[in-house]
Amino acid sequence: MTRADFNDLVRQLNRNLYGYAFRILRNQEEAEDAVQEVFIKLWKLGDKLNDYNSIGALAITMIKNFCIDQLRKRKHQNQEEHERQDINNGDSASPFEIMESRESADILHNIINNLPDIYKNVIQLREIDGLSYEEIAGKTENNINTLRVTLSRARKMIRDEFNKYQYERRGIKEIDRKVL
Amino acid sequence: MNEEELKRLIEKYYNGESTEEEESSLRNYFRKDNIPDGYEAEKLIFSYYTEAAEFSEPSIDFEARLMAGIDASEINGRSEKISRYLLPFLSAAAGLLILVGSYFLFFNKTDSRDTFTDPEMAYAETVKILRDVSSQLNHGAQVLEPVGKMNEITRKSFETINKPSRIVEKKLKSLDYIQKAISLSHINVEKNLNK
Repeated sequence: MTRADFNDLVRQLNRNLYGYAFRILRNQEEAEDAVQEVFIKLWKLGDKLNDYNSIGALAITMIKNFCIDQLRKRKHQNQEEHERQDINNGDSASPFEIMESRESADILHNIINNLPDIYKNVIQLREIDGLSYEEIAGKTENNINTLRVTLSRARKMIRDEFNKYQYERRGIKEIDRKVL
Repeated sequence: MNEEELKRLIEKYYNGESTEEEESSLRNYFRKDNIPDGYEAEKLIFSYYTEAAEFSEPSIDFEARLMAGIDASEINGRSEKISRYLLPFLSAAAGLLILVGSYFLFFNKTDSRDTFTDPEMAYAETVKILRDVSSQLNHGAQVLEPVGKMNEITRKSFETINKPSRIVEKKLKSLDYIQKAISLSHINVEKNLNK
């Protein structure tokens, strides 16, 4: 793979990887570092990169593992701090628990991203950006009743898709619990 | 909020009939850890929205920094390779440096230097040193004199040892003559008998 090809790959994947890392690490700087690490590792693979069917999938696996390591380090640091200060509030979640909730977030992110634009848009404006119904109606040039119908459909779609994923994941979770 | 109230609000939410206030009370409700069974999905969905609202975009120059980071790693990688190839040359150069260094360290000290400005003084000094050397050598030769005497004694004693052996040799020769004389007389006797 030439450097130009790799640059295309970076442009194509970096936002996605950043989003993934941010949802796990919840910190801009750390998420950016994680993406950087993964791209350097990928570039160092050189010709071996051609052996992978999906470099995107490989990159996601790599960033996931990197983030789990970061969570472990963070937990370790927190423990040391607690020991030093002789405080133990006992609420430090295990990397597994954190990953579990972060993975749900990642699934929801993908579900919303794959919604038809009209639904994705209203979810973004109402649920994430927190705009009022009136503001959204003005922006999307819809009346409020139409907006409510659209929003209702979008919310149900998200719930149904998410439940489907959750059902599929239940089997995989047991394996993950052992690994983590 | 009791379970009944929750059920009612959730229904309104999915039907797109909830007010903004009802939606925010739902979101607050799902921040709690203990929620009734059957609302797990909603808890995760609402907490996702809360988190997503906190999402921060990567910095503006993120992509450029990624590219620069990969460039930097490439340079590092190459320098690693270079140093691997250079290693034998570097060790050879280090060895050479030690040799040259030790030459200057040990041999430079023997550099001759003019100690006398007056040639006559230098000559006188040289003659004096040579005489010293010669007298020392003579002294050494004197010490060796007994060794020379020992040699002489050894030679003389060998001569004395050899003297009897020469006498024996002479006697043996005269015996030889007698033997010859006897054998000759035998031949004469035989000749006479034959006659």
